Amino acid sequence: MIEVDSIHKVFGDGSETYALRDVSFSVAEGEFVSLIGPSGCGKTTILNCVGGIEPVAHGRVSIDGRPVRGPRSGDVGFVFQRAVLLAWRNVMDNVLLPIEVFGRPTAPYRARAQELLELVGLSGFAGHLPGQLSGGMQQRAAIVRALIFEPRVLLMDEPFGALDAQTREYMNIVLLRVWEAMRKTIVFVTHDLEEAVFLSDRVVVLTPRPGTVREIVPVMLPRPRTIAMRYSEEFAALARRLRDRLEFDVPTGAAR
Amino acid sequence: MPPAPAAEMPLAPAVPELSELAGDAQARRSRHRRREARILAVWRLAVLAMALLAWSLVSLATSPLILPGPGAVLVHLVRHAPLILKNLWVTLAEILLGFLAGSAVGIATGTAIAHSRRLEAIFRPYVTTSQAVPKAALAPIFVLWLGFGIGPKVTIAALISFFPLLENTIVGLRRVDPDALRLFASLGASPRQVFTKLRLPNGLPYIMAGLRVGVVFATVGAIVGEFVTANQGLGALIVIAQGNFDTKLMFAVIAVLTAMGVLLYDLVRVLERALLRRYNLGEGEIELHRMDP
Repeated sequence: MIEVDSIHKVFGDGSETYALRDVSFSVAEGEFVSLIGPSGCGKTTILNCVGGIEPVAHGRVSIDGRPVRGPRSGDVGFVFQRAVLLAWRNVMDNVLLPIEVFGRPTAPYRARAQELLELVGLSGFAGHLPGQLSGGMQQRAAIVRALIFEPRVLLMDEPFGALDAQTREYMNIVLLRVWEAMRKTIVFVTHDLEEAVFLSDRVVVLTPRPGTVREIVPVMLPRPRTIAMRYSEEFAALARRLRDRLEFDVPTGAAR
Repeated sequence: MPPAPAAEMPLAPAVPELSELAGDAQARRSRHRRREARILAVWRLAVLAMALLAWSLVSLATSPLILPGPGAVLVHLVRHAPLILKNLWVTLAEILLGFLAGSAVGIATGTAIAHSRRLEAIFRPYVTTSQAVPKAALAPIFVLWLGFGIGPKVTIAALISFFPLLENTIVGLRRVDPDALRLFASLGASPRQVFTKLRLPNGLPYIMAGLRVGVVFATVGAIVGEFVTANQGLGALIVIAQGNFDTKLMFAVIAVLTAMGVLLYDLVRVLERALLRRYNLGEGEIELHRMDP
């Protein structure tokens, strides 16, 4: 379980501008929660704080009751917008990178890595170099890399934002299959409302900078989710509700 | 006799198999490529022949003291091969010693500077400025300090090849994907792990490109050193030949120097290719503000 309790974050340039103000939410064990909000509202910062790679100024972040004070090896798996695979390592060696960094022997994890690669549809690609894979395939390898050490929490920072719409839809299905198989707690940052509704149990809507929690919207769609649900009235109503809650900074000046 | 029913006629494949077609296309492509390569080779030789011909014609019209013809230079080269060879070993030793020392110190210093943002910020302006120093102009000073032996030549060669390695090491180790750093941070990686697993493999192509330039620079350095203190070596031989009005020997030595430069460059290139292929790394760029030594 993740608890984000009233965190604040000030920009590091001494301007005393809040990047985040009084952000609180919690994520239950095995829950899928998305963060949405206008760009620059601090979604990535929140993820970094939960992952322990950025300190919080005020407030508290804890995972399973233990406060996060820095990266705790093995607790959190990150997936970024770009796959960030090391170009000189093949897929298998990229997947095993976290194990190496933790200083554990990699041999016992190979079979598991192979299983996970199969789960995301990359079974024949363990020996391929990242440059030989498509963007979507690279991102699937990155997901396996985040899962290989069985983290308690998966933090995903717009992981499919750079992919085309069709690939993204496919990746959503793959991710849900992985999540249903492993029941990880997932915090998922996206700017795509439909994606948030389709994947999540709850959606946290953030305001423009300084980011605060505007509303937390529960998604009551049944599981397992199917593509057909995207066209249901319930889905459309949820997406509309989220869109209404998102505040866009539309310039009000009249054109001359 | 009625003709055999059509149904029993063997169905000859009117359309060839797709794989055959693909094979055909491939064969045609490679045939085409081979032919193209032959044509280019012929043209390349033609350009060389024309250049040599032009050289010969001009040399016929001038004194051999000013411009000896290519044939005369070749004959001279063969006749003086022992003398040239004796001096070549000296120059080669200077180049290799200078190159090894310069690149080792360059890589080590670059690694140290790239290690901390603060160190880099402090040293950056000096690194850039020192590249603008015409290193050849330092040769007389090194002679003053180190005497007339092999010392000053090796030092100049080392100094000149030091800079491309310094610059390229810093850039290669520094220019890493910020998201990759975020990934390593999220895994709680130690600075040492970030270095060995991310920065070093990331920087290797740049360092290899630096070596490639470094070996050429070292050649220039050794020759410049020999110009200042004519004693032995190919640079010295040129100066002596000039004093004796032996223009043919000057041309012969320059030809040998050129061949040596090409050979050294190719040697490093082969090593670079093998290493990068071994580690699945892409080609590095040459990162230099100033290309001249």
